[in-house]
Amino acid sequence: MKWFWRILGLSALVGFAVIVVRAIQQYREDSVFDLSPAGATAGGSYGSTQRGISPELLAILADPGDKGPVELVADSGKEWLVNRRNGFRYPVEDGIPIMLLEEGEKYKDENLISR
Amino acid sequence: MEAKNRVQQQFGAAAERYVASQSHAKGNDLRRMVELAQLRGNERMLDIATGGGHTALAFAPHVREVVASDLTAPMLAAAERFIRSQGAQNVSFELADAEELPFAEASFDLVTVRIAPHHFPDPARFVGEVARVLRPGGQFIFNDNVVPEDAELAGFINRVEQWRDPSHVRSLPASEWLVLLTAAGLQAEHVESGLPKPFEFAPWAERMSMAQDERAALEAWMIAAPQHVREAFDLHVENERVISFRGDFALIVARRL
Repeated sequence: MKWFWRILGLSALVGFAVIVVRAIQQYREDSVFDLSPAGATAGGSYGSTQRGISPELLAILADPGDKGPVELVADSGKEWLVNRRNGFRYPVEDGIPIMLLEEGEKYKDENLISR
Repeated sequence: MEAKNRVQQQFGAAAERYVASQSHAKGNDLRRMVELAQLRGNERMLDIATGGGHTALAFAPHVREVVASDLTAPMLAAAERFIRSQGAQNVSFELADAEELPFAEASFDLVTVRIAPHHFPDPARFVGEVARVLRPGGQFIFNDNVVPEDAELAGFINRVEQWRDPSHVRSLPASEWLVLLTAAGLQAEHVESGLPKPFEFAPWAERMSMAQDERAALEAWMIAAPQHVREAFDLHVENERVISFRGDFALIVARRL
């Protein structure tokens, strides 16, 4: 009997998950080809919010020079994207990373180079 | 670097005018770009030199995530304000150089560029960077002004563009773009070239705040061009003033091999 309830509960859960996934798929399909007018909201809830760098974005951000990964570092209220290989620091201003080599070099801090 | 500083100067001052520009905001070409992309809704996209943000905004409802980049801080800030005001939540912003992209390789499913590469000093390097950040099988959708294959006509229209906007480097003929794409490992799957792009002269000149005397000198120079050149660009003149002319643009879809 116990097994019966467990299996029933499990299938209900799976069923519900399928319904949710289908609904999302349908919504995406529906919204793919209607070029929505101004004011429409985005199809996905994915991505960065008003301010701040999402982990997904951070994962693909790279130093514009050596193309290696950069690390988000907060320093006295200001955020930087740091290249640990050469100490270049790219400022984040109003939530926008300034990923220009000359900026990174301007704020270079050799103490940030990891040995 | 000089060419890039000029871009920052020109577009820093003209940022809001580009957000409001009708020829940039509207246009079937934007709709066509979205159609050509055949989106599934799960793409991560990069819009290079987003300018007023119109391309990023048009694609945002149809993809998972958009990264919009531009070289000019005030331009990017204006694009962000505009896109946020339209309610899009899945767009983020990076200040970046199109020829030195700050992304790991194979980061994007889709890269777009619209009405911008004619400002890039090194188009080969730009295309190389596009190929690098695209995943294999990823798409590049290109939309920019192109010039006729004929060198005299190409020289004429590039001179006109540079006169009005010193940050205009060079519009390439479509054939030259195709060579660059192939060299970078991008296979062109769809090419529409020589698409007409009419310009009303006055708003076109005003968007870049041309001084009156410069504008008059440019008009006189255009009117003095040989007949076949004026015809090639549908130059329309009334009372010794240029009313309108026609440029061309190309739409190219290329896939990363």
